[in-house]
Amino acid sequence: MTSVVERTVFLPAGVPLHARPAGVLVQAASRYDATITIVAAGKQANAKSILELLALGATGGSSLVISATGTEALSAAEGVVDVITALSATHKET
Amino acid sequence: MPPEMTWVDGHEDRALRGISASGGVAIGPVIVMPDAATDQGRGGGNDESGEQAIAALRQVGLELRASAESLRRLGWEAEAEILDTNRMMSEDPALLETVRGMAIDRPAAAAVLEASERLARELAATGDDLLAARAADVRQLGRRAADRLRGRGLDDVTAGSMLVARELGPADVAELIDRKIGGIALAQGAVTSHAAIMSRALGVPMVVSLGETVLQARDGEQMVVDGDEGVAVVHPSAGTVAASRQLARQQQAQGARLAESRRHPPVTLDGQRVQLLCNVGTLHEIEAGLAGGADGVGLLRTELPFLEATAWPSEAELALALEPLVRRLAGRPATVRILDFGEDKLPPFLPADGARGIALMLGHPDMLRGQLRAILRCASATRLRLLAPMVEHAEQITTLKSLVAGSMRDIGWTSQPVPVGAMVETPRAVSGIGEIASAADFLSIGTNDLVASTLTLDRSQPEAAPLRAAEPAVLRLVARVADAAREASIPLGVCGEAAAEPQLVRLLVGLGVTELSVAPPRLDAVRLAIRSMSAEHASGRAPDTLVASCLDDALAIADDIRG
Repeated sequence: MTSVVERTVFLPAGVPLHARPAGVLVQAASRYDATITIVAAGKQANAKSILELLALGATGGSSLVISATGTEALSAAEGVVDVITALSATHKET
Repeated sequence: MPPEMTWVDGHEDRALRGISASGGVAIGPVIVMPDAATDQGRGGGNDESGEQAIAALRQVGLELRASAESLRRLGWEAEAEILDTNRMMSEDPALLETVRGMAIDRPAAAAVLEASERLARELAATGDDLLAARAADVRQLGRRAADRLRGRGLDDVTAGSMLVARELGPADVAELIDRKIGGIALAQGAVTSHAAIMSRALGVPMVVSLGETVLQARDGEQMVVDGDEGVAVVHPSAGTVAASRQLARQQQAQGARLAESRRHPPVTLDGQRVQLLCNVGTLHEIEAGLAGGADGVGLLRTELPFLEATAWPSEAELALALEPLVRRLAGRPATVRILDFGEDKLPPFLPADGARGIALMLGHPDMLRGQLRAILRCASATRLRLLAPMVEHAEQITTLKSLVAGSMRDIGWTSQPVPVGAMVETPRAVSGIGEIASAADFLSIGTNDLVASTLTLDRSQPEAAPLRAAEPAVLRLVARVADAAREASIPLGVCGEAAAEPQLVRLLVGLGVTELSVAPPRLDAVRLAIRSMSAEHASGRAPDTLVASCLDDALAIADDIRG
């Protein structure tokens, strides 16, 4: 069993974790053979579950802690961080 | 006394009396549809209920994917993404896990409802308005899956079965039609329900309001559903079985004879062509209508999916409901009626203030314009016509036309301008018919309401039968509309049930009607009536009915019109 890979990342300002960014995140996370959790303000979510991600209620600019385990843990954690940093206002709900 | 006793004690040929909702006689093995209400309360799941619930969610996900693709084809990317999100929710690992947990001690439908409710609450608890809206999506997802599960008994329905149920929803009927059931017997239900309308449209015998006793029928035993007499016969004797089979065979043979005429166009003996169209509200009816030889659709009802809606349907929702229907009508006449809300078709979000039809929609111009855009986007491949319901003044048509022109600009419509027609359904409309005919591009008489309002009947009363359109008082109004249409050189159709009665077909064509739009099962009979009449003879004799003293005299003249 590989160890846990942990990363901390900030949601871009002005981009709350609403349906569209959460959907983008789920699609990215689902590509990896890894268990990925995201913790925000004490609440934890499976990164492959849009419902859990939405229930975090994470606001723009808040910090997210990514933990990944499994065979692709390292690439999963880094991939998810890249996707979150790339989220922009174009992913905002209208 | 246990309920079974009354049943088992029943003698052979026990006839339960109900109300006829769709004609014809059918006999076959009973299939009792499980009751949603009792199914939920039954408690106790089993090993299968978790998998059943998840299969239902998967099915809903597939439907959402198809809907998203339809929206994309129409250029609604943002709306398609919302459905993609909902599809993702239907596959969500947290939802599936909660469903599995719930299903250990609950039936599948209850498990999926409660699981989606729990997850919806978590979203609502964030206090974020946009997330609260997604909570509503999750609940709706759960309801859709639960609806599928409640209709699960349908898997056992085989062709020719007599379906017994307490009540049927529109979604149930849509599924049943695919399974080619032979007849329907309901404990409750109304003649005016969607289920009844669809059964009539598809020619499936149906009796409603039979009472609770009918629910004691057992799967597999024989039942006769006599939609002509409004009776269901349980435990039929050998004699009744034989007689019913014979009657059903005769009706089928007659139907087959009528269907022969599909090879021939709807032309009178002296060569006048009548446009033969069908009235539809669902894809099944369109399929039935095209199979029955209709040239296209003379009345497409758009309000049916929204009668239970709690808010105005959005442009995208309207398009989603319409697109699969009009896709089947490429190159054919597609007469799409503007949302016809009001009176007996009043969704919960509208006040019962008496407004209806086009007057109601003109009071909500933004909604009307949204629907017009949705129709134009979906139906560009058809020979589209727009039909305004319950028109009473010419200004309603001129205002509607300016909104249509605006909607065409909104979406960059470059094809031919779309004809805008008026439905004539009240004596008041007839009194201003000259102006309405000059403003409109075509007219369509809705005889059901015209008969009811002229003779001051409630259209749900049995007295408001289609043949009452031959009352001289009604025919005089039809003749005035026909004169106005002729004067304005515009087509005149009839889309009420009167158009489906062979006697009336002769009178209507004789008075100058050029298009008949009828329920799909009536197409063959109407075509035959057209093909066996002389238009010249009809136009010579029909005016006599306007001065006839009573209904029977007018019908006698109709019978006299021949080749």
